[in-house]
Amino acid sequence: MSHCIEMKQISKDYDRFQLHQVNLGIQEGYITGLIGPNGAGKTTLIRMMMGMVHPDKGEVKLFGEEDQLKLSRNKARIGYVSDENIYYEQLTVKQMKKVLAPFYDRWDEDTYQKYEAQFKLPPGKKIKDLSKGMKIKFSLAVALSHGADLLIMDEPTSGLDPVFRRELLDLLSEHIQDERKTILFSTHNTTDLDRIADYIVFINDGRIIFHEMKEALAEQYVLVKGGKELLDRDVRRMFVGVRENAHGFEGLAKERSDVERFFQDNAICETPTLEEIMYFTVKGSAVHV
Amino acid sequence: MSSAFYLIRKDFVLIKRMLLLFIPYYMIMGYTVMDQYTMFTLFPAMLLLINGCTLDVQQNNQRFLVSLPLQRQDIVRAKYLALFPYALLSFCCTLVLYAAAFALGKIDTPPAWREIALMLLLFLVLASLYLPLHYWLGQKGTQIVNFIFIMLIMLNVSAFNKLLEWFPAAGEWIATGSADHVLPVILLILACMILIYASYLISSRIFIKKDI
Repeated sequence: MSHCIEMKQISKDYDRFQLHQVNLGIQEGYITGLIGPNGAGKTTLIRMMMGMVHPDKGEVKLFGEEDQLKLSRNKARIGYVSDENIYYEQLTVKQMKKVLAPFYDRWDEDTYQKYEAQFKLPPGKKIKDLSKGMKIKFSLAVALSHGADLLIMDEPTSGLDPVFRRELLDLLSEHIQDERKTILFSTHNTTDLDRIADYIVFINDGRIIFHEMKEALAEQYVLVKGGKELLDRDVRRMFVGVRENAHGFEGLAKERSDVERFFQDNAICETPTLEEIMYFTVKGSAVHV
Repeated sequence: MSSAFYLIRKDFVLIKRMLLLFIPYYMIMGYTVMDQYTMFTLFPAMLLLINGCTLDVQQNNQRFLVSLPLQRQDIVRAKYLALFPYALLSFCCTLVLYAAAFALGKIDTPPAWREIALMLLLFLVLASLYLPLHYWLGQKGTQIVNFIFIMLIMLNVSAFNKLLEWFPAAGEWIATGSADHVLPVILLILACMILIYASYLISSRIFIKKDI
């Protein structure tokens, strides 16, 4: 299976944060969701992919190229949607489009006009006067108008109203129908990924916790709900994380089949959502309510 | 090379509004200190450069530049190439000012070409110092660097006179344009070119390694 992005042994040290020997390959032709809590390292990884941040150690390959010259040319094949506005705020939508379009050989003005109309982007309005949702829409219109093979989106759904949020997810599903297209989508809102992602990369505290097909996660993880009397030291060790309350406990465990066999009819075993996997993994076994 | 053209065009789109502000500025300053019109060669060019650079570091705009399918050297090179249209614009402003002064009868001598040329060289020297600082300090240090350089431009009148006191040959060359002084002039231009190239290498090195 070919990867359009490969990161090998990536390390980066900041004052209060570290990325620890991250290995990651983004599969071509699929939607990969990058999840993790705030400050986990999602944006740093994405900025490394975009060549904005340099790793202290390790290598980043875009479309199989590590060479800096080819890497920068390959950015024409990437549509980037940032979590914050990166465009010149004093320019209008039309001026900004005119500024950036000539840098892309495959810029398609008709496609841009189509998205400008679809997203109701006001060409004469200054970027600074657009709402956050409209700024994301503009980024998306640009990203989709230069024939990008890879869309890299950093928290694109934050700040969007529920209607456009749905529309965006539909748009991405439509975009990925072309098997050569790839989407990497970072978010801490996992319900978006429940709908459209094929692969999930979970990062926490600068470490990749897992990188799996979404369906495989349901086979691996199990959410157990039961009475407190079931919890002893050995049972607690089975869980990635446990949450206790007055009525009982909820715990996330790996090795689904073993855990289901162990609890049998004594507890309820359910398939966890991505949010639950994220929650229990981040909080670990120290969660008590 | 075409990317440099589009990057420079982008700078001009951004500083368009500032260009309009030059009109009242020149009308006022030109009328009050018209006898020293050559001093205005430096001012617009430097101000355009400072403005263009400042707008690039505001609101994460360097991230936009780095997200484009360009090498970082291309972005830095375009900033250095932009010095030439800035200098040309400045030169044109000075000539307009001279023409106004001549028409109003404040000046009856031919344009001071050598002095204007020296001012343009001075602009390139100041830009060579400014740009590495801009790439090094980024958004955080930009305001301080801008303040220092604007002060330097403001002080350039007295500094220039002082310079002529220290190097009387330069003053003589400006006044007479004597052929005896051709070699120092060539050396000065060469030194300026070397300075710009060294400055470009330093800026590129800084910007390539920088996390944006």
